[in-house]
Amino acid sequence: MFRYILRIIFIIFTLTVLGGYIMATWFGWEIVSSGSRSRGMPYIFGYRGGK
Amino acid sequence: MSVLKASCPSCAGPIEFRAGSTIVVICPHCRSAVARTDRGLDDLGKVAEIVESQSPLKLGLKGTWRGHKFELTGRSQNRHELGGVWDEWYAVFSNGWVGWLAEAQGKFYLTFYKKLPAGVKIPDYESLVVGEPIFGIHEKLPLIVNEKGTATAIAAEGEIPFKFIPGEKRNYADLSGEGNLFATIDYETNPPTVFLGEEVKLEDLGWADLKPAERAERRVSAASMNCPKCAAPLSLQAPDKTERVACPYCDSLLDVSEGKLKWLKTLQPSPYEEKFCLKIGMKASFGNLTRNEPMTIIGAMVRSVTIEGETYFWHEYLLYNPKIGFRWLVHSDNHWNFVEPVNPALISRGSKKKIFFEGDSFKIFQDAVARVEYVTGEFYWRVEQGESVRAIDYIAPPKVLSCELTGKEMNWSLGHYLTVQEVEKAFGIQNLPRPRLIAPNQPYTGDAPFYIKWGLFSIAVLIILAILLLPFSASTKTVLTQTLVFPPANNPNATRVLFSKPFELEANKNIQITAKAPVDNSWVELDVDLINVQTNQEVESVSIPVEYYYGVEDGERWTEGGNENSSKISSLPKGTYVLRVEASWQTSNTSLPVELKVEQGIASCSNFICAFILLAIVPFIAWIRRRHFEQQRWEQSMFSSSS
Repeated sequence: MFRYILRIIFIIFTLTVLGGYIMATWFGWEIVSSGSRSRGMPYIFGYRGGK
Repeated sequence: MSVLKASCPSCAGPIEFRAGSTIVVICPHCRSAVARTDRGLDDLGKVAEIVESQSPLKLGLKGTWRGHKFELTGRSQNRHELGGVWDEWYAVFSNGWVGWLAEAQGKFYLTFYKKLPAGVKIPDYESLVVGEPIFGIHEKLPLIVNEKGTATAIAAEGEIPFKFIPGEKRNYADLSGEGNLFATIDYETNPPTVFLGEEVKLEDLGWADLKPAERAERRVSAASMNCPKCAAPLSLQAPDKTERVACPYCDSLLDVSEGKLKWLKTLQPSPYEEKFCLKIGMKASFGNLTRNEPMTIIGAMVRSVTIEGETYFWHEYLLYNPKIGFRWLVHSDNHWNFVEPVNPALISRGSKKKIFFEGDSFKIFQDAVARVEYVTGEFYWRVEQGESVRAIDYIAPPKVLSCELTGKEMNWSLGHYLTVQEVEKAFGIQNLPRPRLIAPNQPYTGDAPFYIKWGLFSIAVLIILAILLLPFSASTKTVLTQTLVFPPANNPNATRVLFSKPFELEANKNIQITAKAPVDNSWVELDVDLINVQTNQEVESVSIPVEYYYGVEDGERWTEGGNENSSKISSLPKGTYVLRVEASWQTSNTSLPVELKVEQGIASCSNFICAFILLAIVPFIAWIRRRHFEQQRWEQSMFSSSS
């Protein structure tokens, strides 16, 4: 039973990664952003601080 | 057919030669072998009583084979060199054919005299090699020599088509081929006589309902059923098949082949410290492997191989059922295998290290001399303590093909891996010891194949997605190109700030800011902020260092860095933006021209690489674990490079 649960978790994980890749490519997100003072997250919620 | 009636020359009792091909009749009154010759009837001597067995066949039994009716009119019984006994029934067909139906260890072989084509020569007995193919007996297929030996005629009944002389020895060879082909070469004549046919089942002969004869257990004389050495009572599980029995009380090896128990020797104690975990007499059913018939343990032995000076022991249990015959249960390192004999003609050789059987490829695992160290219970051959054979194992988990070779015999058997739980369930017992090592043919039961397959599939999907999304992710557009000239700073630690002209950014496209400066063994540090013109808010900030160094060391030129660098950031909401660039540079007393370029829709590998790594981690770990399992398996093989 435990083995089957692990398999399901793995399938969900791979689907999540693939879904995340599709979204990142579609919305122009950079998972490894070079913004040294950014939080590395895509801009979604607006203003994140500044000078 | 015309019947010749006569009187037995020994007892004058009435005898009949019913078949035209009959040469010898066993007188049913006095058991003399009476041969008809040109001169009349000859008494060839007394013939021993037939050793009764659980054979379903009997004299006068009528059958049908491929539409042709036949009757069993005679029977001869022969003894193998190793003590086993088999029957050969003489079958007379209504169409004039005569055939032989051999019965051995529950199997039946129907053969007919085969006239060999001109030019086909059978090797003589001495040059015949067990395991080698013989061509020409069958029109198309080669036949493999399984066994060569010397048979002793011990008993007969009914009518025999040859001159049956009790006690006469004759050399023979048994061969087998694809499609259940079977042949026997009889070396009594010169040239040898060949009989060709096939292995058959009772239902092939119209005897589907025939059952093993429910005979009373063969009893030797009451006195002999006790061990002749210690007088302990011995009860034989397969009395009509047993040739040797080991007394469990005094460790005597006894011979039962002459109708009574005869003491041969005292067995040396077993050198293996592990005791048998199953007992003689225990019964078990192994499902489809034994057609749901129960098998009884009738014997057990300790065997060993010595490899590189180290001796490895294991147990083998002899199982018996009258309908199934003999099978083995092998217990080695607390792993179990159910072993059954196979037709060697069904095995084809790929190379020295690989063979094929029933569509599976088997790799060589071990080739060593196996020795019998100790026995207990009953055996159907004249087993000896210390007897040895060359044993070659080939594996295709969960199966193992074993070949046991002596100079005169080659036996192939197929082992099926059983878990400890399956053996416990079969015998209705518990607490059998658990294995620690990996068995040669132990199947891998982990989930690695699932994770590897699914992982590779998801990586393939990722690659396809990357290709399909390329038009969306890599449509590069330059939104700003500008050169900012920073005036010199009086203070080396001071910075200069300049703003770019406004530019438009589209939504959902990543952004790359590239800065190029004329650095020459120096550095420039740029802090670039993106400011939304509409809201006047800084929405992103990156640091872009530009440095370039070069020199000559030991006559070799070196460089480090470059005069251009870039930063990539995630998409921003659509709008008008300016860059606020704060620069500090090494040669601050000179002005600094910086070429800035802002682009959108840059093809980016980082997302793909991140996704690839995440998808590959689990399959990679699974693959490592699977590989480790196989390495542990092959560590025990003397052919570890075959893995």
